[in-house]
This record gives sequence, structure tokens and C-alpha cells, in this order.
Amino acid sequence: MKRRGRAQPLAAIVVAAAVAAGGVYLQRVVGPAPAAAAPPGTAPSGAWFCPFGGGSEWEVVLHVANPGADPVLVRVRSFGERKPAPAESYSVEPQSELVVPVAAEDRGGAGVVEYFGGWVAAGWVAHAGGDEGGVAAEPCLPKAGRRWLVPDGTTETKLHDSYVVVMNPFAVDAVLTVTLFTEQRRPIRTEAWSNFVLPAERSVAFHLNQKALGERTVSAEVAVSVGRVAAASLGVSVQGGIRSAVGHLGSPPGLVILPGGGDQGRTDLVVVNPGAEKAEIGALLHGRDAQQAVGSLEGSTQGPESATTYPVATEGPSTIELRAGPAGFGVAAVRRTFGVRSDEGASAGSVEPAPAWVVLPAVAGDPYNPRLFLANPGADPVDVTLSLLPSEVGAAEPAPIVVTVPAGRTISVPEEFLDAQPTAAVLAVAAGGTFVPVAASYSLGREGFASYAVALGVPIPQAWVPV
Amino acid sequence: MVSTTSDRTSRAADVRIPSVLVVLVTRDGARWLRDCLQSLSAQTHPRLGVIAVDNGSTDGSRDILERALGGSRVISLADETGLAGAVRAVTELPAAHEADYLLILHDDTTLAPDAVARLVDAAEGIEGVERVGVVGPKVVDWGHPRILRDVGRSTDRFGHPYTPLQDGEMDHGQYDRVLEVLFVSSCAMLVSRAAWQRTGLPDERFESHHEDLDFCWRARVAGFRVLMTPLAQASHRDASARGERRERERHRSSRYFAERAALASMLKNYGVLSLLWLLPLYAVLGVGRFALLTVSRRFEDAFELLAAWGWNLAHFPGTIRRRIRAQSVRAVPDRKVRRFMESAALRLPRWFEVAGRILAEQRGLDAEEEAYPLRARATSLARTHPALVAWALAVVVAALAYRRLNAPGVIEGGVLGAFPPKPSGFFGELVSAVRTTGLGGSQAGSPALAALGAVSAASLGNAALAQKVCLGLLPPAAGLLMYRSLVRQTGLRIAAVVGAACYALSGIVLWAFSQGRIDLLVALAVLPSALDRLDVAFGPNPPWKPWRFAVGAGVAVAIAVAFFPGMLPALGVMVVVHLVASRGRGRGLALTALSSVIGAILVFPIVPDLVSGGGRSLTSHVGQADFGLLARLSMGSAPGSWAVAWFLPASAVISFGLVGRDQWGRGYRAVLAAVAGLFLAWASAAGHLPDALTNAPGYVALAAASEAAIVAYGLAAVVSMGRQAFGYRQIAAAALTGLLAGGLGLQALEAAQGDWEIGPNRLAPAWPIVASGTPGEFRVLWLGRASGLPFPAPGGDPQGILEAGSDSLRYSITDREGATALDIGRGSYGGGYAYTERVLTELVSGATRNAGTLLAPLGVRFIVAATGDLQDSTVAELDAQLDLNLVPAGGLVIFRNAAALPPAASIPSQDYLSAARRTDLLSAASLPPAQAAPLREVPGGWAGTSEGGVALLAYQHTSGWRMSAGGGESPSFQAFGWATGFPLPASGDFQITYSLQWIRTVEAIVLGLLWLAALWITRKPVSA
Repeated sequence: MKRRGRAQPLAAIVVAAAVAAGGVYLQRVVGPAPAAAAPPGTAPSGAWFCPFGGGSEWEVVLHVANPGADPVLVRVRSFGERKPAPAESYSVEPQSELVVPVAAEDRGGAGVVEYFGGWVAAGWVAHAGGDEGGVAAEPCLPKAGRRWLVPDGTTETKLHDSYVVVMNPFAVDAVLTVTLFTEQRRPIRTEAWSNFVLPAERSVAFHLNQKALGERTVSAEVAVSVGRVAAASLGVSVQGGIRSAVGHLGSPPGLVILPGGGDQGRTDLVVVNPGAEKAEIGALLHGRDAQQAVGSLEGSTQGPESATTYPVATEGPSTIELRAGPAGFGVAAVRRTFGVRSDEGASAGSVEPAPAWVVLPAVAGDPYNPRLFLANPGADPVDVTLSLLPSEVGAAEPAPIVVTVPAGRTISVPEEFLDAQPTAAVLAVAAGGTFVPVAASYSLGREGFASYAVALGVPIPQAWVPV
Repeated sequence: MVSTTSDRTSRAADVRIPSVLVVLVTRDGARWLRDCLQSLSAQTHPRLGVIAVDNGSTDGSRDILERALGGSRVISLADETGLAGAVRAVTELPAAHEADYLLILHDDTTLAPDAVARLVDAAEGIEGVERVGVVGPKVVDWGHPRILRDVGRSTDRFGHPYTPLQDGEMDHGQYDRVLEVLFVSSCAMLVSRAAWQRTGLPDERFESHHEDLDFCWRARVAGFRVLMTPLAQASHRDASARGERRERERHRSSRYFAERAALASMLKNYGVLSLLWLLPLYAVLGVGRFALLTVSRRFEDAFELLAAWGWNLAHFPGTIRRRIRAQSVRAVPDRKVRRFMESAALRLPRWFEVAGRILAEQRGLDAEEEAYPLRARATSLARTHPALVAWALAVVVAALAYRRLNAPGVIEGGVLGAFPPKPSGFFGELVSAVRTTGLGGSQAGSPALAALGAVSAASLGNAALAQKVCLGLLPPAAGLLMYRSLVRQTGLRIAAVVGAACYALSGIVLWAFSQGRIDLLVALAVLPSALDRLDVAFGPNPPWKPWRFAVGAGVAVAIAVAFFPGMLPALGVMVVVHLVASRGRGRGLALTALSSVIGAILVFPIVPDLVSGGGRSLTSHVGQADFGLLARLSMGSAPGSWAVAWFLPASAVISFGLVGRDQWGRGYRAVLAAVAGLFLAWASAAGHLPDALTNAPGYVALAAASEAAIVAYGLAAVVSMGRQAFGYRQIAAAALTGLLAGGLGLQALEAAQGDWEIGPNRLAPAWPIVASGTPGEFRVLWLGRASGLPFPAPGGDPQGILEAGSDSLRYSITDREGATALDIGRGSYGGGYAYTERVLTELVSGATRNAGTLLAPLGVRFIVAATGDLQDSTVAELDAQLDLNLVPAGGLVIFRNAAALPPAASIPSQDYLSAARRTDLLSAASLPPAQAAPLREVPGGWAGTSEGGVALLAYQHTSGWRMSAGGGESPSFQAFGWATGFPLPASGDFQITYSLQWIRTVEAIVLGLLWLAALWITRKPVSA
């Protein structure tokens, strides 16, 4: 008995120590069981938001390209200021492109492409009609959101009309406020555009000239307090046709890559800094043969809550690599390029290069002059394989070609490759490295004058890159 | 009782001496009859006559009487007519009408030589006391004359007899004064001629049970006084109560006779106005008593109560006749009679009376020991009456702790499930063949719903009151049942009280209360009993009645499992501990197996759910893998989960070092159980156990009960330590005392603050957006990180975990009201939940932009999460969905599903019908927005008007659903791989009903019978 009597306290201490040690071991060494990774989805779907705008007698087509190996079901809806039209469903065959005309009678015309069972790229080509002319093209937006920066806008003369097209494809009303940034004035917020209610499944165009006339640069910020929207700019110029550039979602980035080409040598870089602090900016120009700093932006700062248009002289294919600093600061930018007949094109650029893209056509019809430019902002040359995704199934198409993009250069894809199927989308896949493509084409024209349009490529998500 | 003057004035000697006729009532009393007769023969009263009435004695009593009194003075009655019959027989004699007084005397009563004279003296000789109708003596025990048996009696307002005497109360002269009382015992009762002639004779229907109460009451109503004089003394053997008299088919309990006489006396003797307010009160209290007796498994007592009421109903005409007779001679109002009654409240909290007596005793001691300091006196009181002191403290703590729950309206918050507004909601779900909550299916409702329904009914159908009753009673019940177990095991009340207090104030109990976990609280209350029965089963001494024991254990297990199936693994751990560390393994295992089988039978409708679905009915996803938190027996943030909660494990460690030889085995097993419970709780929370064994609250409950038991074992050793040489035991005992005092005190203070998660208006301010913003039925999908926490109220506990790496989610699907009490004891699994997880996988993997459409077949209209409870990436994915729209809300993240369908809808779309027949998600995701019409709810199903397409019920498919349309009937198909669908005709009305309801109805009836049988077998013995 005595032995057990003495052992009891010892046993208690041992038990306590063992529990404590066990607890520490479990807590620090074993830890919670790792959760298994989620299996890949079996019902892929997505949507493209296309705030293309419109007008009287405008013709807008949506290009939907399927680079995959399986057909993809798409459902297309178009919006305006009135009740939306019923959705139309289509199947996009593998390795091909679908062209869907959509209604665009309203200045704030827009469309949504939903897709199921695979991945597709979508973009629009708008051909102005009626009293207006020109062609605009942009890829559609992959997401809707609550803060959009739309840099491109000018109201300097009565010859230019600038709009911000905002679409709300969702089932609930959106409440948003549009703020305008100019070069000199304080941010412009008007009562009419504050807490503006955009009804469900409607889109609208804000005419910037109404609020900030005579400004060389008018950029817009669309802040949404309820709901989500997608936004893009629409420029209509009596002299320069039409142009579109999709907005930037979220905070402004520190890097924007803006490829272009086929222009007559004049480029405007529109930069907007919506932040409360000034941002330091600088740019590199990746040309066909050389890489150099953009002198007009050397050592520049972009003031807070302001937007500025910087003219940049370019020659041939070129890419502007715009950087903003210091870390944590950013700017949104648009490259506005002028065609040979002063028809303008605009592109919002890309915040990062990618290894695989679908480049949707920027041509609106006969006569065609499709052009495709590839920019390599990286340090190593990239071999890019190009193949066509034709809109006509069974049509003869050229064999894929491989082009090499030197490091820090922007090149033009051989025209004969594109001429075989001028309205086809192009699948561009790098063997290694990354790049940024852009379609910059001439087509149609008004009264015999060719119209210029620029459309950035659509990066292919990693899961859908063709092997 | 009213004391009258004791000044007695002798009358003049020339006053006529009153004559007294003794009515000696005998039956089989030969053993003591001679003593009685001798006492009569020794009376000093000069004018005394005796008539004996023999009620059919067979033991020679009649012969004794005839020898003593002569044949002419003995009346023999062939049948047992009781005292009333005997008195009636005597009053038919002329002598009775000539006698001034009748002295009714039982054959087992002896009188002091001057007793009759003193009785007569009291009746006539007290100055100022007129119209004395009845006088009784001071009655002492036959064998122990110092023990008082009767000094006059009273009743409460409802006629229930009440004596001021305590059991075995000694005669110290404390009642030695003439008392005016409501009634005196008929064992020796002097009745004046005027009284019995005006009042009438005793009611012969009472068969010698409480006829004295009724008779004296009537005498009071007629204006006669009833006195007890201590100068007259009688000794009463009370042979019937002692079982010394041969009983003739007595098959009723004393409760029956008392209740029968009480109600009948009320009906006869109260005036109309008194009855108008007393009878309703009596009815309410009667129902309450019946419920209490039933709940405490005193079924025979409850039945006796019913039988007494039934007797009164059957004899109502006779009662009315007697009432007319009694009221016709009324001379005094009821209020004057009620002066001799006690307060109605005196019978309700019986223990208050005991407490009062104890305190009175203590005051007496205080007076004697004024030199004692207060501390010493308090210690003495606590040692002498630990349970009483603990209850008193518990009442104070509970009053403070519950104060915020006493607001009107329902309690919300925590994981408290909403109670249905009526008790029928519980019973309806219990007998429903289909589950009406969650995603439906054929899962049976838990038998726990019957108990909740009963509570709700007892709360007069007031859901808010039912909630409060459940929550308010369960923590004290946990302490009480732990106390009972520990008292049995240790034999020391003070050790058991401390152990029970440790348990009731442990982190897990306070956490469960804070979150309104009624299911876990019930399991926590039952757990000590279940563990105690395991202790008996595996203990050295086999149970007295093994079958009764097994049924009792089965009932305990069934109750725990019915409310909280997750307690099963914890009980399994304890069985394993006993198998490892007990001696009676064979018997214990056999009894455990038998109890388990009985328990399973008692919950047989939910047994299939317990064993199927991968054990998900046993699973709780609540619990954080925080060893420190679990070690102090808590599951999360709640009052009592702070660092002070370490007091219990620390006390258990010290106590284990002190456990005495007699409790060593129990202590050893309790330590094993506590350690196993703790580690298993951590493993559960950390996700290392399979679903069927994942239940951290259950394991922590086991650890808490075991640690509380260790504390009691250790304290038992300390209490019985005595004076030993100073050593580590004394130091440890002092440390333990300090630790327990501090720990319990601080835990009680923490509880008394009442800062619970539950309470009035505890839902997030944004919740009305969901609850009231949309008409019609819909479901809510609750999401959050896999953190082991419950959802914000009223989301309840997670029903499942979706493993997705760092994006892992916990989820739950509820109706628009949130978690419901109808789901107590019922897990959530099946095809619908599998479908939900597939959809969530699509969501978190970023594959889909149509999660709303995918969730539409589930009837999900809202997705709700606590702010900050979701990974940013998950919020981004939700925000990227085309059909989910973020609703501005404070405190909650709410997405509204634009593609939502009603849980029961007709969709006039052939595309939808085609997609519903498939199981792949792509078909569902690519469906265009549906123009759905909700179906009308009709008894047993739904109805609607068809325009073609499909009728979709977002209820897990079972084969019993049928659709009738156009005179035909068609079966359902499994829509989307889990739901219930019907292809609709092009036009016409249709109705959907469940055709197999009869099976569940039969099950419910059988279940009810099984529980009745089990409760009957384990009933408490009938009250004496």
C-alpha cells in the first residue's frame, strides 16, 4: 500500500507531463491534417463582357474563338438601354471561330458571351454606320467588377466625342459613380453621375463631353457601390472614325505593355493616376530593331487624380512598356494610335505577357488588310507558333507557322499568313517564354478610306493552353 | 393552527357530567385489542359506554370483544365498511342519540386513563371556547411514547393533508397547548352529538382513508370548533401503515387515497366562490404534478393521480349530493375555515421546507454556539448539508446567469435551432416519412423530437418558453446527475457536490450553454449516468436486477444518442477503457452489449442513419485543433473558456495523486478516459479521424466528466484522510482546495455575468435581408473556412467539409429560418449534399461562372458567410459568378442567387427536364434562366398546374413520391442525380404526395410503445 501511496503522486505527475508533452508534439509537429486539393472542375463555364457601344446603323459582330479540342456551347445576349433581346445559343467547334452579329443601336450597346464546357476567347469589331464611320475592335472583358479605370477620352474639340460604356449584365441594379480626371482640373464628380442607378441587364454610355468639354485628356473612374459592371471607352471622331479600349479593373497596375503597329507613326499614350499621390512613370519603347526609353516620359511624374496624354513617336511595330512607381503605385494607360487616314485605334494593353494567346481579328469586312504584331518585352527570344482559327469550318487554311520574336522587340507577322483567312482568329503559342500580341488592321473604310482598328490578344488560361 | 387559551376553569361539581359513548372500530386487531380495551377500562371518566363494531375480523377479535364487553355491545358487520360504516351502525342505536359525545376509537389505539375526561373537559370546559364539535388527543407512537404521531392537522388550499410534525419528531412539549386545528386523527376523535347530528356522518365512500379530514372540515363549515388537547394522550400503533394488519385487497397507494379525498373534500366543502378560483388552480397544479411524476418515471404515482381524479369523476353525483347536505348547514364562510389551512405553496418546493428546517436548526446551533465565528459556521453548514448549500449557490448563479435570457420573445444566437411555433411541429416531424428540413430525404426524425415536443406542449405551446425551459434546466441537470453518480461511487456528498460543480461549471458545459447547444447539453446531462452504469456493469458487484439495469442503461444511451449521436464514440472509448482496466470484463461486456442493443431498439428509426452515410450522423465538424483550448475542456470562445478553466484539469491531476485505495481503480480508468478523450478531441478537430469518429465535443465531454469524477475521488480521499502526519498529502489537499475554490468561484462569476452568445436579438443586423427580404420558401447555403467554428447565427453548425487545399470550406444548407431544432439528433448526408460538394468544388476551383445556376436545384437563394470567414480567393470566385450578386450587408457576406428556384417548383422547360435527367453538372450549368412557378403546399405534398416541363422537388430522392395528374399516377425520377423530379404533362393540375407514410406511422407507434415499456421497466418505486 505504501508503495502505491508513494507512486500515486508520481503517476499523476507523469500523466500530466505526458499529456503536456503529447499536446506540444501534436500541436507543433503533427499539426492539422492537410486538406486534399480540390479536383479540377468538370463543368467549366465562363463569360465575356463586351461593352462595345453602338449607334445608328452600326454593325457590331462578336468573334468567339475556340482554341480547344472540344466544341463549346456559347450563349450570347446583347444589351442596351432597353429590355435585352433573348439569348441565342451556339456551338463553337474546336479550332474554329464563330462570328455573331449583335444589335448595337444604342450608344451604350453591349453584349455578353457565356460559354460552357470549354474555353473560348471573345472580342468585338464595331463598324460605325449612319453619319459616323470607322472601325473599332477590342477583346471582351473576362470579368465584371466594382472599380474601373477608363483612361481613353478627349473632348478637346467638338469633333471628338468620348464615351464610357458601362454594362450591367446581372440580375440586380448597379449603383455607380463616374469621376472624371483631366490634366489640370480637379476630379469632376457630378450629381447626375453620382450614385447613378444602372438597371439590371442594361448598359449605358456616359458622354464625357457633357461634363468636361475642351479637355485634351478626360479619363474616367467608375466606382460601383452596389452590383458589378464592365466598362470600356468609345471614341467617336468626325475625322478619326471610332475607337474602343476596354477599361482596367481594380487598382491601377505598375506595369502596362502596350503593343501596336501599322500606324502612321503617331501615338498618344494616355495615362491616368486616380490615386491621391503622384506617381513616377517611365516607358521603354520596344521597336522592330531597337529598344529605347521614351523620351517624352523620361523622369515624368503623373500628378494625383489626373490624366495626361503623352505623344510618342513610333515607327513600324512597337511596344510601349510603361512602368509606374514607387512600389504600390500604379497608373492605367491606353495607347491611342492613328491610322494612315487619321482613323484611330486604341488599346488598353496588357499588364503581363503570357505564353499563349488567341488574337481575334480587327477587320470588319472587305477590303481587308489584317496585321498582327508580336511583342517580346522579355530578355530572351521567343518562338511563337501561329495557327488560324477560321470562322468557316472546312475552309482551306495555311499551315501553322513559327516566328521568332527577339528579346525586347516587336515584330510583324508575315501578312500572307493572315491574308489566307483575313477574318480568322489566330492562335499564338510560345514554345517557351512569353509575349504579347496585338491585331492592328485596316479594313472597310468609309467612302473609300480604310479604317484602322487595334485589338489586343486574349491570353489563354493555363488550364486551356493547347498542348 | 390557532392556539387557544389554555385557562381552564372547573365547573361546579353539580354540573351534569356528559356521557361519552366509545365507538370502538375493530378489524383483525386481536394482537393489540386487549391493550385498547384495558385502556378503556381504566378511564376515569364516570359516564362512559362502549360499543364495538367489528368489521368482519377473522382473527378472533370478535371473541375478545364479546368476552370483554358482552355480546350486546358488539356489532358485527359482515363486510368491511370502514370507520364510516361503523359509526353509521352505532348511530342507528338509541344509545348513540342519548350520548353527549361519541368517541371514535381505532382498535390499535390506547388511551391514557384520564384521556376521555380531558377530551370532554376540552370540549366543554374551556372558557370562551364555544361550539366545540370535535376534540382529538395528542397522539404518540405506540412503541415509543416520546415520538409524536399527531397533534392535529391541516391541509393546503387544495385539501392535501399536512401535519406540522416531522418524521420521528420527539415530544419536548413543543405542542403542549390546546390547538385549534382543521382536523384531528380519527384514531381517537371525540365528537359532540350536535356536531355529528348537524354535520352528518363520515363519508363512507372514503373506505377508512382521510374521512377524518372531510368530517372535521364539514364540522368547521357547520360552525363547530375542532381542537387538539395535549392533556389527553393516546398511543397509536398505526398497524395498517406498519403492515401488521391483514389487508384486504388494498391495491391503491396512499397518494391515491389522499388525492381522492382532497378533491372530493374540496368539491363538497368549499363555497362556490372559492371553487371558482381554486379549481382552475388545482387543475393547473395537477397537470404539473402529473407531468413531473411522468418525467421522473414515477408512472404508478402518476397513474394513481389519474385514478383519483377518475374516482371523483365517477362519484361526482354522490359528491354533489353530499355537497348540498354540507352546504345546507354552513354557518361560517370559507375564509374562516382557511385560517386553519396552510399556504398552497408549502407543498411545491418541499426542499425549501427542508432548507428552512435546516437553517432553523442551524440558528438553534448558532444560539448555542455564538462563540463560533461565521466562517466556522458556514463550513459546518456546508459540511453538514453540501447539496443544499450547492443548490442555494446554484440558484443564485443561475438567477444571475439567466437574467438576460428572461426577456420576452424567442432566444436567438449561437447555434440554437429555431423551435417550431407549436409542439405539433416536433411531433409532425417525428412521424413524417420524409424529412422536411435541410435537403429532405427519408431520414427519420430523432426520438428526441418527442421530448422536445413534450417540453413545448408543457410550455403551453410557447416556443420561447420551451427554449428557456430546455436551456435553463439542462446545466443544473448535468450537475445533478453527476452528483448522483458520484454519490453512489464515493458515498460522500461533499465530494460528489464538488465534482458535480466542477462538471457543471466546466468549459464544455458553459460553452454548450453559451451557444444554445440543447443537443449537447442533454448528452452532457445524461453522460454521467451512462458512465456510472458502465462503472456498475464492469464493477465488482453485479447489478441487482440485470435486465432492469440493462434497460436503464439502454435508455440512458438512447437519450444521449437521440439528441447527440456523436456521444456514441465517446461512450465507446469508455467501454474500451473498462475492457482494458476493469475486472468484470465478461459481465461488463455482456451488459454493455445488451444495453447497446436495447438503446438501439429505442432509437431504431435513426439507426440506419447512424450506420450509413459513412457515419456522418455521428460527425461534428466543430472544434479547433488547439490543444491548450481543448485541454481546458472548451471548444471555443465562450464564458468559462478563459485561463481559469485550467482549474479542472489541474485539480484532476492533483486529485489523481490523492485518490484513495478504494477509488484507485475508478481513478485510473477516469484518467485513461480523460486522456483518451482529450487526444481524440484534438485528433477530431485536426481532421485525423474518419467521419464516424470525428466529434470533438463528444470527446471533450467525456474528458470533462472523467476529470470531474477524478476530483470527486480525490476529495473523497481528502475528506476521509483524517489526522495523519503532515506530508505531501496535506500540501496537495490544501492546493486542491484552493484551486477548486478559486476555479469554481471564478467560473461561477464568469457564468453569472451572463455574457452568452444566445439571447434576445442576437442575429446579425444583416440577417433580415435574407430572412425577410424575399417571400416564399428558399434555402440558404452557409459557407466559411474549414476552421472548426460554427456559422454565425442562425446558421448553426457546419454539415460538411469540402476539402480544397487552402480553399477548403465548411458548409451548411438551411431553410430560410436557419438552423432548426427539428434537426436535433439527425445528420446531413446523401446525394444532395454530395451534389452540393460537387458544385462547391466547381466554385473554388474557378471552373464555373454559373454557380448560382448549379445551386438552383438545391433551392439555394442566398449564400451567407461571416465577414472575414472566407478566403479572399473564395470571395473573388463567388463575386465572379454571373448569377450570384453580392448584397450590401453589415457583418455578413451575402450573395443572392439570381437563378434560384423554389424548393418545390414546376419549370415549363423541356431543356430543364432533359438536364434534370442527367447527372453531369455541365448540363445543369448551361441551363438558361428558368421561369419557375412555386408549387402549392397541400397536406402530404404539393400541387400545381402544369405547362409541361418538369416538377422539381429539391428534396433528396426517395421512391415513395408519386404524382397524380389526369387520373393517372406516375413515379418520380432522380433529378440531377439526387433530387426528386416528375415529367409534367402538357397541361392540367397535378399533385405530388408521398405514398409510404404508413411505414413511418407504424414505426412511430412501435417506438412509442417501446419507450413506454422501457420507462415502465425502469420506473421509480411507488411512493409510500
